[in-house]
Amino acid sequence: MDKLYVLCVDDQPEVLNALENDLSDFENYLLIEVCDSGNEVLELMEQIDTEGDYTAIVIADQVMPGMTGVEVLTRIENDPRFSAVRKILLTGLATHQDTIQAINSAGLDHYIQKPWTREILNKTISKCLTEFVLDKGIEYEDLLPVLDQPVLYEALRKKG
Amino acid sequence: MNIFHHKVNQQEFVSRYFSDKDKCIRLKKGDILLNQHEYNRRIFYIKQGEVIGYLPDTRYPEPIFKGAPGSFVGVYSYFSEDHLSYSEVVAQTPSVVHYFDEDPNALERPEADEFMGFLLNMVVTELSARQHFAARMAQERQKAMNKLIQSEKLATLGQLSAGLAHELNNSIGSLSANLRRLQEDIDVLLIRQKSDQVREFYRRGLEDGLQLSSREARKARDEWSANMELSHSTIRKLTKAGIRAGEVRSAREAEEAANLWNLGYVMHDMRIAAGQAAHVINSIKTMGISNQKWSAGVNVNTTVLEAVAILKSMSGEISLDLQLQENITAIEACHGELVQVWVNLIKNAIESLVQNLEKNRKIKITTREVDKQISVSVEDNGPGIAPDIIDKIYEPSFTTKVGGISLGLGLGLTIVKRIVSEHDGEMRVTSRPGRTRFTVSLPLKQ
Repeated sequence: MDKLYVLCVDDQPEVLNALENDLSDFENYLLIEVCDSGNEVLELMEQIDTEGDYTAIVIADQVMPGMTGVEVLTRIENDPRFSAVRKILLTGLATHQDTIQAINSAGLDHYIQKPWTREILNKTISKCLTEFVLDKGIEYEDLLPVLDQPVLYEALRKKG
Repeated sequence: MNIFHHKVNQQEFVSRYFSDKDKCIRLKKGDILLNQHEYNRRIFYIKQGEVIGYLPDTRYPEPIFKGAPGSFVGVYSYFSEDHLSYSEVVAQTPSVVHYFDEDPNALERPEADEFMGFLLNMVVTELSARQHFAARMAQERQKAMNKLIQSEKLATLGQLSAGLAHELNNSIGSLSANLRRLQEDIDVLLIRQKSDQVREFYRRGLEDGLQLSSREARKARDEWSANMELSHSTIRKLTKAGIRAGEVRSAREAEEAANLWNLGYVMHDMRIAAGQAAHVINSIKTMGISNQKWSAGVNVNTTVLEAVAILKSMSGEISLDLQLQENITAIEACHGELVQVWVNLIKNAIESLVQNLEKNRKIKITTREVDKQISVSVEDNGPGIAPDIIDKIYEPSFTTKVGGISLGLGLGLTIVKRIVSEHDGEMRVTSRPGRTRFTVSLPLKQ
C-alpha cells in the first residue's frame, strides 16, 4: 500500500512535539512528520510525491518567521498535484484578515485554535483523512479504525 | 480716521500720566490690586513685578491675563459703564504700580485728543496681548488634557493587566509546582531502578531537550532503519534525541531509550513553557503601577551597566560598544525602572539584529550630559524600522516579533515610554536601514 503522510509545520519545537505525541493514535496507519519551516514542509512534500507516496494532511501554524501558515497553505492550494491535500491551520493568533485570506486563497479545510485538545485534533484528522482517501480513491480498508465513520457512510450512501 | 494721529511714544506718555509719586502702589506678593466686582476708576500701569488676573468665582480659578512691566491693568472697568472690575488682580511678585484716575473728559484739547489716542492704542495692545494669553492657556490646557487621557489609558491598561497577571500567576504557580512534584515522582517510580545508561537518556531529554532540527533528524534516520527492526515513531524519537545507533545494543533497548528520552523531553518542554508564561506575566505586571523606590543620586551609567549585565547571555556574538561619559551628574530617578528602560531598548536592538542575521552586528550605547540633560542612546546597525510602522511602536500590543523567539506581548516600548515620562524625560527614535537609534533624554532637576 502507498504511504500516507500527515505533516505538521510550526517554528516552535515544543508545539511540534506536543502534536506528535497527540497524534500517536494514528502512528500505525499514517506517517507523521514534523517540519520547523514552510520551506521544509514544501520540500518534504516534493520528496514524498517523488517517491510515489501521498501527503494527506498538512497542519500549519500561522505565525512563523519566513513563510506564514497561510502562505504555505496557499502554495499547496495552487499546486495541482496537491489539490486533494487537506489543509489545517493551527493557531492561537490569527487576525481577521489572516483568516479571510486562509479561507479565500489557501482553500482551508479546517481551523484549529491553540490550545487544542487531543480529542478535537484526532476528530479533525480522522475527518480530513477520510475525505482525502475518498477523494483520491485510495484503498482504505486498512485505515478503517482511524477513519470518520459518518463521513464514510455518507459518501457510500451517495455513491449508492 | 487716523486714531493714532497724535504720535506719542509710550515712555513719554507714561512719564506724563503714570509717574505721580502720590499715585503709586507697592504690592507684596499675594496682595490684591483689584477685587472682583470692585468699583474702579483707575488705569494701572505695571512698573515692576507681575500681576495676574483671575476669575475667583469659578471652580478652578485659572489666570485669564498677566500684567508684566510696561502693561496696563484695569482697562475694562475704567472704560465700562458700571466701572466694575470683572476679575481679581493679584500680585504674583512684589510689584510697583502707578495709576491714573482722572476723568479724560476733564482734559483740555489737544491734550485730551492725544490722551484718548494713546489710550486707544493701549487698549488695542492690551486686548491683543490678552487674546494671545488666552490662546496660549487653551493650548496648554489641551496639552495637559491629552497627557492625562494618555496616562488614564495606560492606568486602565495597567489595572486590567495587574488583575490578569494575578489570575494567571496562580495557575502558572500551581502548574509549575505540580510539574516539579511530577518530576520527582517519575524519578522515584520509573527512573531510579533503571540502568545508568538508560537513565542517561531520560536525563538528556530532561536537561538538554531537543538535539536535532526536524530536517537533521530526518537525515539521521537511515542509520537506524538499516540496523534494527524499529517502528517509524521510535526511530523518529531516537533521531530527535540525537541518540546514535552505537549507543544501544538491541531494538528493545532502543525503544526504551527513545521512550524515556521523550518522557524527559516532555518534562523539559513543560518547564520551559511554564518559565515563558511566568516571564510574560512579569512583563504584564510591570505595566501596572510602579512600586519601585525613587532616590536622589542615581548614576545613569550604573543603570546602563546593570542592564548590559542582565542581557549578557542574550547578546551573544553581537559586539556592544559602550561610550559612557565620565563623571556624569547623579539624578533623581527610580534606579530599577531606568535599568528596565535600557534593558528593553537593548533587547529590542539585539532582537532586530538576531532575527535578520546581519553580519558585523553592533550595538552602540552612549551616555552624554549636555545642557542640563542626560541623554542615553541605543543604536543598532539592523535593518531599521519601516516608516509605516514607526508611529505605532509605542502602542501596547504592537510587536513585529514572530514565532517563539520572544515573548513579552509587545509591551516593551509602552513600558519604556511610561517610565521615561514619569522621569519628565523625552524619547526620540530615528531609523534607516543600517542605523536605528533610540534616544532618551532625562532632565537634571535643580
